[in-house]
Amino acid sequence: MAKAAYVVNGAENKNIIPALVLGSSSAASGDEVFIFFTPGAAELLKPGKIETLKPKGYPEAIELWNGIKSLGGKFYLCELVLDVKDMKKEDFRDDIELVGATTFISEIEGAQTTFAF
Amino acid sequence: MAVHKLELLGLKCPQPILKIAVEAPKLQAGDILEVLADCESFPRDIEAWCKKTGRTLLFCRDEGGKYNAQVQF
Repeated sequence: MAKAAYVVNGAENKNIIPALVLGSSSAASGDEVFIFFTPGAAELLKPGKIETLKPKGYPEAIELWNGIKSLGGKFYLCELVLDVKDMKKEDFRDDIELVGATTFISEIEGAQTTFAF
Repeated sequence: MAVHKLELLGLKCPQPILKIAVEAPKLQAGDILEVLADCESFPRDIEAWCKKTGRTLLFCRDEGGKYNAQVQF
């Protein structure tokens, strides 16, 4: 199974929507999908936030999020966020994992598709 | 061999293909998935998805702005 890795480096629609559109296409095509959020994207991962993202002309973000999840995709948040943003694990939605950069880099080894937004 | 049907009208790229991929594990080898969609990119997307995932696109017909496709698993 090919791997596809996406990095989300901000909390605006221009950061998250392309990652979800392309990530869901990767997942639907049988790729193992990893989406890694840096601390700059942390606001997106507060409970209920993704559900509010309904940009004009795009599918609703939560539809794509849930599609990726149901196809086995992983959503990772950089654990540096705890210190960078003074936040706790409990401050985030429960379908993400807090991981170190080394874990992410290790898991995406050999990825054929990589994007950063 | 069973025929499964999916009505995906009104869904925008990449949702139709995403819905098909989520449905796919329910189908057995030889089953047919019949899809109705109206996303502009659907004909090329379903062709690409079948090629990538090893399924057979039996046809994808333009029926006046709606696309009717059959995929054999």
